[in-house]
Amino acid sequence: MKLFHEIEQVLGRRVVFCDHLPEPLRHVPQSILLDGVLYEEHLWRQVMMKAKPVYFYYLKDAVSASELYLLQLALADKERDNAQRIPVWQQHVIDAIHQPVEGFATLDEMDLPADILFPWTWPVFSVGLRLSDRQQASMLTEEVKRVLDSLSDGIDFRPFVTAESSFLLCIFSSSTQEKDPDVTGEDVARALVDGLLSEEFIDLRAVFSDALYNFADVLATVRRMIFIALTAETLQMDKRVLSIQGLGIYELLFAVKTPFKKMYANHVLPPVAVSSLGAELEQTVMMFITCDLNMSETARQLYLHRNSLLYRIERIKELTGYDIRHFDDAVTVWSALLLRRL
Amino acid sequence: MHIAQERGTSVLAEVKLSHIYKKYAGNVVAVTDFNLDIADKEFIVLVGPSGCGKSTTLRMIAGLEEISEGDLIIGSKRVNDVPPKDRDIAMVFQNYALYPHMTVFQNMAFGLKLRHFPKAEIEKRVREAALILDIEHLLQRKPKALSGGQRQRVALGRAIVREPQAFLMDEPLSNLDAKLRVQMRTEISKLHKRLQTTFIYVTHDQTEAMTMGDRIVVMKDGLVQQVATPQEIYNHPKNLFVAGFIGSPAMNFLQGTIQEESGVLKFIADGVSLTIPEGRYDVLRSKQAINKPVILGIRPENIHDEPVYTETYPGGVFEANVDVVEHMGSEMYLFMDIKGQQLTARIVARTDVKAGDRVRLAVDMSKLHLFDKETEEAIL
Repeated sequence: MKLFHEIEQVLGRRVVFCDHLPEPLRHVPQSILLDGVLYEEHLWRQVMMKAKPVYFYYLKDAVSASELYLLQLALADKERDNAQRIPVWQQHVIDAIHQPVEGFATLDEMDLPADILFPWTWPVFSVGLRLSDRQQASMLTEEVKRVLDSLSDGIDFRPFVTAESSFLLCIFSSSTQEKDPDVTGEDVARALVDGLLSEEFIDLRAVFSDALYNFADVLATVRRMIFIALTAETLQMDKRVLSIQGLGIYELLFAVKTPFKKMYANHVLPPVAVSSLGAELEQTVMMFITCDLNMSETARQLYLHRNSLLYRIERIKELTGYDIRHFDDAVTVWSALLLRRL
Repeated sequence: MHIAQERGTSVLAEVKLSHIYKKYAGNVVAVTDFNLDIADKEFIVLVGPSGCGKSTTLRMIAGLEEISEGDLIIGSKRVNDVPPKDRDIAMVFQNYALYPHMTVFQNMAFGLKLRHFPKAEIEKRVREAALILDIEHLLQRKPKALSGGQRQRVALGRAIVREPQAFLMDEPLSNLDAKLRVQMRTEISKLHKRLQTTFIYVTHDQTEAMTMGDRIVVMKDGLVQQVATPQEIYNHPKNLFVAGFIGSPAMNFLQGTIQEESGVLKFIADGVSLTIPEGRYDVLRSKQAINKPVILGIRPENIHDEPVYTETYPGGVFEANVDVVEHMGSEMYLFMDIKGQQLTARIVARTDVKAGDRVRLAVDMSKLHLFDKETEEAIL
C-alpha cells in the first residue's frame, strides 16, 4: 500500500510494514499486539486497516514516541478516509433510510446531483430487508451482508447492498434479469426470507419493488419500503414477503396520528371490554375477518363447532356492543384491536 | 453409506422441554407449562388448531423465539441462550423458496459454502442428500423448472446436507396440493427412518399427525392436551377436545346422562337409550358418573347398519333420520339427526340408504367413550 511505503521512506526504513506475523507471534492476542510485543529486539504492533490486520515492527529504541504518535495518526486518518469513501449513490440511500418514516415520499430527480455514478445499468429492481430481532439487529445485519455477498460467488448475481441496522437495501441490476428473465424481485425476496430463516435462523421481512428507472425512484422506494415493513412489524403481521404495492388499510391504520389511535381504540373498545374479551375472543374477531366473515370457514380454522362460534360472536356483542356479523361492526372492532397494538 | 450411518452413534439428539412458557407483552400467554421429553431418533408431531401454540413451541426449540420461562435441553446441554445457528438443528418451513438464480446443487450447497466447508465435502454431502431424496437428475436445474414437490424435496435437501442433530419442520407440506401431500407424507416418514435423526414436526392436519408420528402432542390454547402414540390418542383420548380433533370424520358426541334402571346402566339422551356394557360399571360407579350430565362419544366407524350388528348389539340400537348421504366409493357417510343432535356414521357402501330415510343402526358399545360434561375429561 502506498501509504505504508511512504511512512517507511519518511522514517528511513526504521519502521517496516508487513502483512503477516513471525510464527512465534501468531497466537498472541490482538489486544496485546495493539500495544506492541517484543520479539528479537523488535517491537511488533498491529493496526486495523479496512477491517484487516496490518503489522509493523521497529527496533525498540529506534523510533521516538512522537514519531510513533505521528505514524499512528497518519494510519488513523487513512482509515477514516477509507470509511468515508463510500459511493455517492450509497450515501444518498443511507440518507433516505434515516429520513423520517413516510409512506408516500416523492423525490424529483432534478433535486439530485447530475454527476452521480451508478455501478449498474437501468432499470434495476430492489429488495429491502428489515430484521425482526431488533435487539440483535446490528450483529445480524453483518450476517445478512455476508450471505448477500456470497450470493454472487461465481455467479453474475451481485446485489449492490446498502446496509444499516434499521434497513438493508439490495439493488439488482437489469443485467441480472437479462441473463435470467425468470428472476424477479418477488422470487429473490422469497428466497432471501426463506433461505435466511432456514439456513441462518435469521427472521426478517422483505419488501420487493418493480422495475425502477431512475435514482429518484430508488430513493422514494426505499422510504416506502421502510414504511411498509414497519407497518407489518408494528401490527405483528405474519406476512414476511411484502410487495411495494403495500398493505392497504393496514397502512392507513399505521399512519394515524398517535393520540387519535389511542383515543379511537379506547372509545371503541374500553380497556375493561378488552380485558373481558381476552385472547380467545380477540383471536375469534381476527380469524372472522381473515375468513371474510364466513362462519363455517372461521369455525373450521378455529376448530370450533359452528354453534360455539355463534356463542362467541354473541358474547363479543354483549361485551362490546358490536355485532361482528355486520361488516361495519366487524371492521370497527378489528381496527380498534389493531390500533391497540400500535 | 448414507449420512446417518456415517455420523455414527456418538450424538444423542434427545430434546427435553421442561416447564416452558411463552409470554408476550400485555400478558398474552401463547404456551403454558409445556413439558415433553423427545427421545433420540423419535418422530414427534405437534398438532392442534391455529393459535394453539404449536409453531411457537417449535420456534422456541429453534431459538427463533425467546423462552419466557423453563428449560430447553438438547443433547445434554441447556440451550435457552444458545444462538439458533449453534443449536445443531435444521428447519424446514411450509415455504420452500429457493434462490432463483442458482441451480438445485448450488441451492443445496449454499449453507455449507457459507460455513466454509471444503468443496469436496460439499459435493459429497449434496450428492448423498440428492440420492436420498431421489433428485440427482435435478441437480443442474433451476428452481423455475421444478414442480412444487420437487422444490420441497430440495428444501429438505438443504436441511439434510447440514447433518443436524434434529430436524424441525413447520407445516412443510401445507403448500402442496392434496395428492402431493399424501405422497410427501410417506417420503418424509421414509426419510426419518433412513436418516435416523430426531424429527419434530408441526401440523394442523390430524391425518398427517396420525400417519407420521411415533408420538403425537395434541395442543389447544397453548396447553398440551395429550401426549401419546397415534393409536393411544385415537383409542383413548384424554378429553373431549382430543376426541373431537383426532379422527375423520370426527367422533360423534351426544349429550345425556347415565341412569340406572333395574341394575342396568344406560346412557339416556332425547331419542336415544343405549345400554352400557357391564364391564364398565365399576369405572362409572367409582367416578360417580351415574345421574350426572355426560357426553357420549362414538366414532363414525363404530356405528353399523348391517342386521348382524343390530342383532348382536340390541342394547346399542337406535333410530335416526338421514339428512345427507355422501358416497365415498367403498364406504359412505350418513349424516343424521337425533332430536337436534348431529351424528355421522361411516358404513359400507352396500346399503342403499337415501337422504330422508329413517334408519335403524347399532352402536358398538364396546367402543364407546364418555366425558364429564363439566370438565370435558374422559370418564371411559
